[in-house]
Amino acid sequence: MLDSFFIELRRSPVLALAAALILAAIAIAVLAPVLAPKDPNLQNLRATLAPPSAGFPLGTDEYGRDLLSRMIFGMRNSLIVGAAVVLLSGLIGAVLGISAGYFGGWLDMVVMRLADIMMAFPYLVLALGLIAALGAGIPSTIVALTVAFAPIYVRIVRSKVLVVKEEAYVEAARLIGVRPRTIAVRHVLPNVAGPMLVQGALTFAFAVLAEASLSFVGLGVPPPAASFGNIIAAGRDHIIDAPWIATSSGVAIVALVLSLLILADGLRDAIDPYQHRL
Amino acid sequence: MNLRYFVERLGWAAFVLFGSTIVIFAILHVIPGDPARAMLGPEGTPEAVAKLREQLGLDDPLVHQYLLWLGRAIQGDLGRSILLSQSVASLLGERLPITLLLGLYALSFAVLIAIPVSVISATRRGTAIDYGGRFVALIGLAMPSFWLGLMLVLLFGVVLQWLPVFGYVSPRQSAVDHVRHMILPAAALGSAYAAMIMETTRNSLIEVLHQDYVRTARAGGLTETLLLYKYAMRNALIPTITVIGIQIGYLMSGALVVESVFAIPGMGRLLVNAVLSRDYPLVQGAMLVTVLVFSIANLCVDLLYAVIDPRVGKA
Repeated sequence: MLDSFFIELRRSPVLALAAALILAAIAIAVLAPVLAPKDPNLQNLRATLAPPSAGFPLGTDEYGRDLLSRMIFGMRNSLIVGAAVVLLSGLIGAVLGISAGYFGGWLDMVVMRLADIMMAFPYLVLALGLIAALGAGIPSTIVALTVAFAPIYVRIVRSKVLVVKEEAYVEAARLIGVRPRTIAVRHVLPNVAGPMLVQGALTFAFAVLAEASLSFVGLGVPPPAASFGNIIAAGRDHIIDAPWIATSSGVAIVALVLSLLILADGLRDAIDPYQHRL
Repeated sequence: MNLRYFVERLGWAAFVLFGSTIVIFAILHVIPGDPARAMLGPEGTPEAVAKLREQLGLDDPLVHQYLLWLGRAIQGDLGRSILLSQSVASLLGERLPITLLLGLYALSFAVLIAIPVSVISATRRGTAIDYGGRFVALIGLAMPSFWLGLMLVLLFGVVLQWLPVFGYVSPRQSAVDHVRHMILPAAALGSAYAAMIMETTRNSLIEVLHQDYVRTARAGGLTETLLLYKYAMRNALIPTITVIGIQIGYLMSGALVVESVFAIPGMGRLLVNAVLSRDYPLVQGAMLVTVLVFSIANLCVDLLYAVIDPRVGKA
């Protein structure tokens, strides 16, 4: 699968650009303390709401904090939340989806009905309810979004498992007496890895958007820590006199999310190269 | 539509709704931490916490609390908001219609844009117009609705000064002002939704246009217009309705933030404020009403299937 992804990468310059942007975003997040020209929380009351200049490449906010530095740390927080949500909801999806799909029976019934009930909530409403109980903060944001996104994973993995478990090689393994848990891990899991990767890229994109939304209304990354969402929230109050505050962070989110959506598309093509191209 | 399908869908909606009441209750009562403590904040004295716990019935057994809450909720009593010291039901009654209107406008905006664009895209597949349309849709999907809202405010409110930028006017006060205030929020909320509808409709239309019955109709000499709108569209719209239905949840999530951008006093903003101030009765009530609206919307979509595609529910 990795091979065909590299083939896709060479074939599609758009996908290559998206992949490069994602790598750049990761590099920015990892190297944030080195890359940021200033301390993201350093206030400079003599340079509040300064437009972009040589000293402040993207301008400053109402406390005179350097926006470029805040955006670099905002990228870090976005990626931390996004990656954690993808890993945790993927793990939950794999464990529950494979168990429900492979073993069936009452376990399947309970897990799937639970997923149905969770999906009766608009995802941000469920996340808000959890944050109401847990209190705002990065860990709560991660927990809330994991709970909100995991049911989709469970459904996708389970539906794929239902197909895989009827395959001849799984049946053969069963006939020669391989233990069910070994079959689930060694034969079923690798076959659901592809769809999970695609879903992972999509979840990452939507988790970044959701984190930004929560931070925008003051329930995600708590200030003074920087996040694209709370930078834009600060920019809303100065949309007339300092429009650059809200603008640049929004452009960064769009670039990141767009790249992740394109990556998801590329991964889908790589998994299923014979799929009829629309 | 047959009765059995209808009853089945109704039963399913009731089951999901019942399950969601348990989730709502569990979220706010089972998670470690004392809601009374959380609501009063660091200034709450132990006496005040104890008093509030008693007032909220937090010392009773959980099952008892749940049944009491559910029983009252069914009768329309959702308790009192701590923040606004008003009945939760009457608060939601005031705010919900505003959010529903906003959602309806966003949905109409999305459908009105998405359907024509997807027809153009599908019939000119692989051309620059097709790629251009899809790329714009992808960007629409990647834009946070609240940020798009702010950019629309900047362009249409601040630079061009065509439209008001904040606030809400009830349609009873002035229909014209109501519409003028809702255009930008509806566009901000509806764009990502339009992108999802467009991608689905385009792909399903392309698939339908390749089917045998369409080829036969074309060979029989039907005009392309008649073929497209009378024969292909009806089948192509089934996946579209699925997306519209599933993504109503996305719309409702978006309303939470878009209302905050435009200072629209809807339910989304009420819920956000309730969470910010940890007004638990209000959070519970707003979540419950949201799920109720979402379930009804999904039920309508299920029934709409049966109307559009008579095969649904017959098997």
